[in-house]
Parts: sequence; C-alpha cells; structure tokens
Amino acid sequence: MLDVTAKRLGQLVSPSPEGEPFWQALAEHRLSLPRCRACTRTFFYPRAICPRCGSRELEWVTASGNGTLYSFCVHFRSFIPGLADAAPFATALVDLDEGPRVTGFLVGVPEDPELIACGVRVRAEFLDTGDGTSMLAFRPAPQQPSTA
Amino acid sequence: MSTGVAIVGAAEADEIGVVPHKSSVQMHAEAAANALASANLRLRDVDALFTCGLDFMPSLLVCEYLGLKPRYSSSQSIGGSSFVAHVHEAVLAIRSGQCEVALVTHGETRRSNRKRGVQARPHHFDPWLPDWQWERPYGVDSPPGAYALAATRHMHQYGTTTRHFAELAVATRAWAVRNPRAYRRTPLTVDEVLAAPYFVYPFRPTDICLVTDAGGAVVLTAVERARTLGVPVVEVLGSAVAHTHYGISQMPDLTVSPAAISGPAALAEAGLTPDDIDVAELYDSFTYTVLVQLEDLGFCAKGAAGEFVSGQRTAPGGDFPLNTSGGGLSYTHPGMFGMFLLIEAVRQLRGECGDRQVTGARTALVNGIGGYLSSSATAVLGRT
Repeated sequence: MLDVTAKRLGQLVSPSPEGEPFWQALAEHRLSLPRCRACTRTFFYPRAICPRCGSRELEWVTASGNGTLYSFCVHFRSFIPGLADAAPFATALVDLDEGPRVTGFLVGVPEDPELIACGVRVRAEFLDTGDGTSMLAFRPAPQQPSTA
Repeated sequence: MSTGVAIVGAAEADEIGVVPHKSSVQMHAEAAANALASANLRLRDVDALFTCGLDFMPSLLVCEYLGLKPRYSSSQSIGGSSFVAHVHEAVLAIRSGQCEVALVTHGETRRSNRKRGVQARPHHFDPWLPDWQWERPYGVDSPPGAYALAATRHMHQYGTTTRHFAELAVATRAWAVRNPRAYRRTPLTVDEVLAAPYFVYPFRPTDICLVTDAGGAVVLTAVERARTLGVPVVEVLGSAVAHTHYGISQMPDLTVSPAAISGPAALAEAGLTPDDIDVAELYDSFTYTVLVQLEDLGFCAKGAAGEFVSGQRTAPGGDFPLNTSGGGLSYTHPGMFGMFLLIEAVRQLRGECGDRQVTGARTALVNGIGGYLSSSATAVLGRT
C-alpha cells in the first residue's frame, strides 16, 4: 500500500495570510473551506475575493471530509526536499462533497498505479508533521453496500 | 482569409542541443540573425521585438544586446505557448500600425545551466504564492506531476492507455530520425517504451520532453511588404490565445485544454476547418499534451485521440503528419517549445524540410500550450 510519513514535511508548509485559517484548522484535524456570503459558493484555494462573483464578504465553513477521487498521479521520484525520500507516493485531486476540488496525498491505495481507480469515494485524513502543522491526505472510503 | 500579416523568416540558433559554450542571449542573437537572413531583412529593419524567458525584463535585455530601440515590444509570458502568443500580438501590432517588422526571439540554455548551477528561468520562490502553497507540498511542483494528473483523468474518462502515449512517442521519434538537428535520433519501438518503468505514473521517460539548449526566432511583416522581399510568403491566416487557470488543481476540466478556445477561434478567422490542415505542429511537452490538443482543436472527437494516433498514423508515411521536426520529445526543448513549432511549420510551408518534407504542404496549424495546460496559442499558417 502507498502511504506517506509526514514527519519532516512541515518545511513544505508556509501559510499565506489568506491561507492561514485553513492550515490552522487542518492542524486541529478539521477541513475548513472559504465560502462566499454573497453567492454562497464554497471555493478553494482561499483568497481575498470570491473567484465566482467578486464579493469580498467571505466566511469559513467546516467540510465533511468526504469526496470523490477526481484524479491522481504516482511519483516514483521527487526532487522536492522532504519528499525525495517519500517516493513512491501519490498525489490526489479530490472533488469534495461541498463542491471545491482540493489537492492532497492519496494513501491506502495499491502500489501498482494501474490498480487505482478515479471516481472512488475517499475520506480526508490529517497527517501531522510533528512541528505543529498537518497535511491533507485522502484514503478510499470503506465500500458501502449498493442500494441500487 | 488572412490576417494580412506573414511570417517571412524563421530559424534556429547556429547550434542547438548541448551547447555549454554559448550564453542564452547569444542564442537569441544567433537565431535573430539567421531568421532575418532567411527573410532578406536586416536588423535595422526591425521596429518591434517580442520575447520572454530571460531574466526579469526580457525585451529590454534582448533589445539592448541587439542594439534595437523598438517602437513596440512585449514580454508576454504565458509559458511554452508564449512565442505563438507573440505571433498573435505581432499580427495585432502590425495591423494597427504600431510597427512594420516584428522580430520574435527565444533562447534558453537550460541543459547547460544546470552544470553551472544557474537557475534557467526567473522563479520567484515566494512560498505564499498559490501553487507553492496548495500543490507543491503534495508533490506537484513541476510539469510532470501536473500533466500526469490530467492524463490519468483522461485515461479514466475515455479509456486512453499508456500504449496510446507510446504510439505518439514512437511516431515523433521517427520524424526526429529524419531531422539532422534532432537530439534523439535512434528509432524507438512501442514495446521498448512500454518495457520502461514509470517516472511519474502514467508517464514513462519517453512520454516527457527533452531538456536542451536552444534558440529560435521568427520575423513578421505585412503581406504587402512580404511580397517585395523575394522569399516565400507564409501568411498568418488566423491566430488566437486563451488561458483558463494557472495551477493544475484550478483547471476547470482536466480533460479539456484551452486549445478548445484558441483553436476554433484561429480556424474561424482563417476560414478553415481541421480537415483543411496539411501539417500539424502541436506542443509536445508530454505525449498526453498532444492527445488532448488533437481533440480540442477538432482533429478528432473528444476522447478519441488515443485511437487517432494508433497504428503509427502520425509517423512519416502515415496519413496525419504531426510534429515533423521530432518535437519537444525528440528534437529539442530548452524549457519552452512554442518557437520551434513555428520554425518547423514555416519550413514545411517553404518546402525546406528535406527528408521529412510533407509533400505539397500548403497549410499548417501550430498550437502552443503553456504552464500546466494553462494557456494555449494557435496560429493557422498558409503558403499563398
């Protein structure tokens, strides 16, 4: 199974002023998303203005952590400090149930990438780096019995 | 139809490939001189310059080096498509009377810079920037990972396979075999490609472009003036630029590039359809990049590009001549490739391609892709 050890990865995280509340929530194991009060759209990444309607009336909401794997790639080599030793590891793009698409690690999936499928349901996990920050990861959700 | 503007000169620098004994600005200058010579024009005829990828103020630097004080210049920088976007800008500038002779130059020595410990391009490593904050911590800080994410989604949605990618890599190499200036000229087979391990899934090394040293330039002027120069006239029949995002996580649909916007716009201006195109030069930073462009430009239906390139259809002798220089995958790729798409298209239309000449080529479509499938610039060219 592919996994990521987040110890020592804290060096990769440097929250911007707009992103700070997201990273703070993540350290508390909550997935927090910016939402526009004017058009009610939840969006990602955090910014000073709603990318849909231009409003600056923004708020933070807590997401369920549930989503669908939109796409992934598997790195067999990486030149990023801290991640070079982590290979092989996988990056996920996940469409959250609240709407936005977010980036995170993909864990708990087979090492053979041909056995990983887009479209599966995933659930957020929080990987502690050991220096007060956490990183986002997604793991395939246990299969639900079909109701169809 | 035509924009009324023509490309009258196109050339590479004197040497391309591994050129540790030349500077990047030198590459611009050599290519400029060679392109102007192929246009029967001189440096003093140039009154507009377009460039990017060099330091913080590229057009200032290149103009100073060449001794130019242009009436108009631009350093528009939207990734590898920039030089095709410069052609679009030059067309607008010439048509509106801002300039008469536009020179577009490019030069990067990315391969040899690494040995000197020099950063090839100005990256402002500010960790507060969005891609640095939201993508890099999870492993995506360079094109291979980003394009891999797009390719995986396309494979899921449309059944595209790594064998399809291999078909394109092999066909492109076959063109490079016929290009004396290509960096990789050893023939390749699909089985050889598929036997190699992944670098970043779903890409193997042969799915990823080269890193070389290279320079190139093109020269544009109004068609009326072009006809007085005594060189073949390659008209810009249509051109357009589009971009939809910067980082890959912000791409609206990973299976649709902005070529779906710039392509139809440029073809409409030219009054042509994909069926009218004799030779296609499409940005091949990755094999997948070409597949998504074939669909978005209308050469095949969405999702059908894998099938389209199968059976070595795009190789020499196939019925769809594509990336006839050997492309960024096998010919050259100094960090950005758009310039070299233009040079090859112009040479094909001028009939200067020797062993790899597409017989009777009268129309060419050039499409540059920049960033993380972020920008697209299309130029439809025709020999008139």
